[in-house]
Amino acid sequence: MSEERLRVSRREVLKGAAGAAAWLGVPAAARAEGEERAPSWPGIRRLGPGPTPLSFRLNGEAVTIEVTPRTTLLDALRGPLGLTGAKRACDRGACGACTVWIDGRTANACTVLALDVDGLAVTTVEGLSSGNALHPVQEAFVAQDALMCGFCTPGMVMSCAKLVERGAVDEESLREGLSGNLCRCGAYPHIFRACQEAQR
Amino acid sequence: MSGVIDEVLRPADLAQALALLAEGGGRRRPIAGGTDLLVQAKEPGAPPRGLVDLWGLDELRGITAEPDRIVVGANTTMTEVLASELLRAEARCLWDGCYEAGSVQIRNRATLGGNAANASPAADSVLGLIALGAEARIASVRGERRLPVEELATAPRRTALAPDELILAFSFPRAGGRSAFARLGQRRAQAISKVSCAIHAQLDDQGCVQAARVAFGAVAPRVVRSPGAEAALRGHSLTDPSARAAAAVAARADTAPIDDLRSTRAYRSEMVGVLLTRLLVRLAGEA
Ligand SMILES: Cc1cc2nc3c(=O)[nH]c(=O)nc-3n(C[C@H](O)[C@H](O)[C@H](O)COP(=O)(O)OP(=O)(O)OC[C@H]3O[C@@H](n4cnc5c(N)ncnc54)[C@H](O)[C@@H]3O)c2cc1C
Ligand code: FES
Ligand code: FES
Repeated sequence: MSEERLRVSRREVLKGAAGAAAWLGVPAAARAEGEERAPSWPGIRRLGPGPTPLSFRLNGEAVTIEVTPRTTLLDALRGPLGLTGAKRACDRGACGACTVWIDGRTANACTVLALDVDGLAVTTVEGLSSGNALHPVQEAFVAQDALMCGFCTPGMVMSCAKLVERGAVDEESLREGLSGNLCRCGAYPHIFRACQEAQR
Repeated sequence: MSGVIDEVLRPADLAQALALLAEGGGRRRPIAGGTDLLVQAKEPGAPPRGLVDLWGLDELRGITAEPDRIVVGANTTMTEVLASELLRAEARCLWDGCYEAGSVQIRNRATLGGNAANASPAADSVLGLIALGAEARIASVRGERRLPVEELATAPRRTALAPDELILAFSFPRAGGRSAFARLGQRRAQAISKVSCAIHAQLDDQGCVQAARVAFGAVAPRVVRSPGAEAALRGHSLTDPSARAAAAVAARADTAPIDDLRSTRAYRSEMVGVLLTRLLVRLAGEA
């Protein structure tokens, strides 16, 4: 790999013609023939195939663990990190039982690679309360009896807290905003009421 | 566990990402939000792969308004599309497609580049891009090229992209006009479309269609246009009942739905006409 080619900035590539010319200027022989070797230029992080260190902020605290590249965030949370709040149900992004926040946005931890949160901030339901003081949404879930078996609850609470934060607690916003969180027990009416109570 | 991923390569910029793909000789795949890839990686028999992680590449993200084009980076998430007033105003069919797709959690990760490159015949953001006349900007270490979005997918999960190529962005003209998207699924959220439709129409002063682009999802091996419906609408008012009927008939002739686990050929074929008619009503401002 020629150093020169790697110095071509992204902007040039995006700009099209000029960037393309720069790329095409690389002699064909300098292009890799699919050889497998560790990249030698700075900046690239090569993670795996074996256990790889992963550092991120988990519920406000810096953590470092080792994971294999194939480990999902949900595997890492429930396994080495010992946080079993995020649940595994479908394991394919469809039910929301594993909902966590990544840099403040909800995501299904089962369809995110653990290595993808390197350097980011992850919040799980365990990080929502402070000490014994529950988050207002959790308080409201208790007050409104917003659960039956409780399996969807950790993920549901994580989504609800975001909707309450945005003030999106009218019927339509809740229906839309919670459409990725399935409750098999059908506790939705109580869940909706809990969100509206938490808003007040 | 996603059993087949054996390394993750995290490039610091686009140039590195392209170099890593070229070096991988077809054994490496890009990953953006991972909402398709990580589900597929859990399927039995998937081959081992290295992943080149695009998620951190901000140069692939973002929505830019140029004087006569709008450029949307491949890493732009559906959530970011929904947050864009520009796209809501000028690319409603794309905006609506993202609004209807997935759930909040999925849209927070699902990128437009991933949606297009995954090459599902039901990819909801792709219909709008095609209706808007978008082209994909594609790059590899060999250079850059552009391809109309409708030529990107060739069959389910197959694209015209070489293994070392990345989609950088989508770009479409700021042509004005009106556009809309609608879909039918098992339920409103989280369901893959049974049939979907997007339309963009350019109107003259009299409200007659000067040019229209009509795209359908889930009724062919890839998202397709309906040249017949487009021709049937040209020169007619959006409210003209016979033009609407002719467009619906032509659309059914241009599509080839199949029976599968989600729906039947007969229902899909019927709904091709129904969805198009609904969108024409919506565009005419009658609903
Ligand atoms: C529960 C659930 C519900 C869903 N609902 C919908 C829905 O309603 N409508 C819909 O359309 N989709 C839906 N999807 C599918 C998926 O979320 C979308 O297709 C999404 O846009 C994929 O983007 P991604 O960034 O997550 O892609 P990834 O999984 O990261 O990648 C998908 C493919 O694209 C390739 N790729 C990614 N970026 C690039 C690039 N820049 N250049 C070249 N190749 C690239 C990858 O190699 C891979 O082959 C759903 C998925 C799940 C799990
Ligand atoms: S377990 Fe992650 S969405 Fe169902
Ligand atoms: S309370 Fe049982 S799944 Fe929701």
